[in-house]
Amino acid sequence: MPDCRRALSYLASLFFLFAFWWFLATIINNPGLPGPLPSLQSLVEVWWPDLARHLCISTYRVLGSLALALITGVPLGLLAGRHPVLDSFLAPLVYLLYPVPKVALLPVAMVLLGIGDATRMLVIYLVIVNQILITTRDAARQIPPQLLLSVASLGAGKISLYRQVIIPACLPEIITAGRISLGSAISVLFISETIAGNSGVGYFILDGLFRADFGAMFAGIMAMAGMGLVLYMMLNLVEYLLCPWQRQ
Amino acid sequence: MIRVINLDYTYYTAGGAVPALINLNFTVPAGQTCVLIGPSGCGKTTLLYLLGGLLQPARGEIWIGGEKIKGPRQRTAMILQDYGLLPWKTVWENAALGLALRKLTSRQQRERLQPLLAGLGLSGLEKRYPSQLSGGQKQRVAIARALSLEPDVLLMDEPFSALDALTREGLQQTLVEIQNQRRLTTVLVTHNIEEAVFLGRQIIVLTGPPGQVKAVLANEGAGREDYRFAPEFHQLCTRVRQILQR
Repeated sequence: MPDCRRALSYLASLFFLFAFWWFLATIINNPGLPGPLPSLQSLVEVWWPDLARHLCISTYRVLGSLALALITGVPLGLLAGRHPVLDSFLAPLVYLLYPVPKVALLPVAMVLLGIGDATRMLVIYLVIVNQILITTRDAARQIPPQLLLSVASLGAGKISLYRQVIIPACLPEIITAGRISLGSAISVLFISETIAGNSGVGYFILDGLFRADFGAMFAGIMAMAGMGLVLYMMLNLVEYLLCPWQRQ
Repeated sequence: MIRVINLDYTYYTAGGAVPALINLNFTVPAGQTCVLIGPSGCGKTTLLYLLGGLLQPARGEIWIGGEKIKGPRQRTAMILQDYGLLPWKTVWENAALGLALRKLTSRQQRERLQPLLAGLGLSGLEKRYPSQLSGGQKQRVAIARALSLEPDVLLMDEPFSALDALTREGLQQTLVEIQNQRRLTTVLVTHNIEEAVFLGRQIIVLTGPPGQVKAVLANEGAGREDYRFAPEFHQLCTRVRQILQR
């Protein structure tokens, strides 16, 4: 029953958001802000096959850079959290680079790598890898020493300690970092797609703006929001499957 | 048999070297229970880690069963503070961890664990996670995990300190029964005087910091069923208390 209730509360929130949007659109009464119904209509009836292609490209860019950030950030974070020597080298580096706005490197990346997927994914990667690395490192640092000693006393070697203790202990935090990074990744994706090129939902939204086709613009915005929502739900599912001890 | 000879241990912190244990000497005969008692910070836990091979002494030697300790020993089982159960593993997976790390097949694991868990009253809880257990149940899982390795030495750090009085006494009784069946050489760290006197055939009182042996007391009645009600029990408790306060 609680599952049913949760689904209902999500539906209610969705309804509330659409109602609020409709209300705003009605009082503003400007073609720049079409209501939810015309936007949905434009999404489904006019733009869907075309938009789907852009959506696939955008999803690929977000997921690819998220995967890359996890593949590199998580092992580095785990090692830095467990080995102070590595951390003493890595921490200042991360600290110095953190305030640099990575999006500002987009033009540089374009000059060096062209305007393909690699450029956009590199910039998204640079923005989110820090978040993942720092969260993972802090989680790895906070593992109670008794747990590690207990398992070591059972005869576990270094690799077993990572497999049995360190990785599972950090997994919930790593997934949370993934969720937070997902939001940043989509924001950066949008910016990167509006700068150059002719693919991706970001491009589609901006193209709608330039053609003053606000229906198309809002179809794109809804597609991007939907993509974020689905990816977010997928990360929740991953957490549900990988961290059964966390289920309430 | 456990022999500790001229043992020193020093911690190195940012502030410099901090001696934790100075010149410890004692012997625990095979099959006996020895309780280490002392104030917080006297190095009891450090001593247990040294006995378990998780730390290396600065000076001196530890011998267990004719073998000098240089690292974790196959037949030494440890139960550390807070039970050391992994929150992401079920009761069964936690109890089987030592066996899995020693590469026993799942059938062999089952053959060893099933009777152990049943004996400790844990049947039916195999699929639960530690967060779904009471403190006493968690401690039983930790005991099952330790015993699954068929150890001859059992080291325990404050095993019952987080439990309520009745659960604590029940588990102390369980420990006595295990001791009667298996004749493990046991070293138990506690700060509870009654627990020390009920369980310890030999009671080593430590002072510190830095930890030093203040007294070694023999305790013939340890583990006897009605011992808690005997006058000798209370006399010895008083004596331990006096030594600790001196």
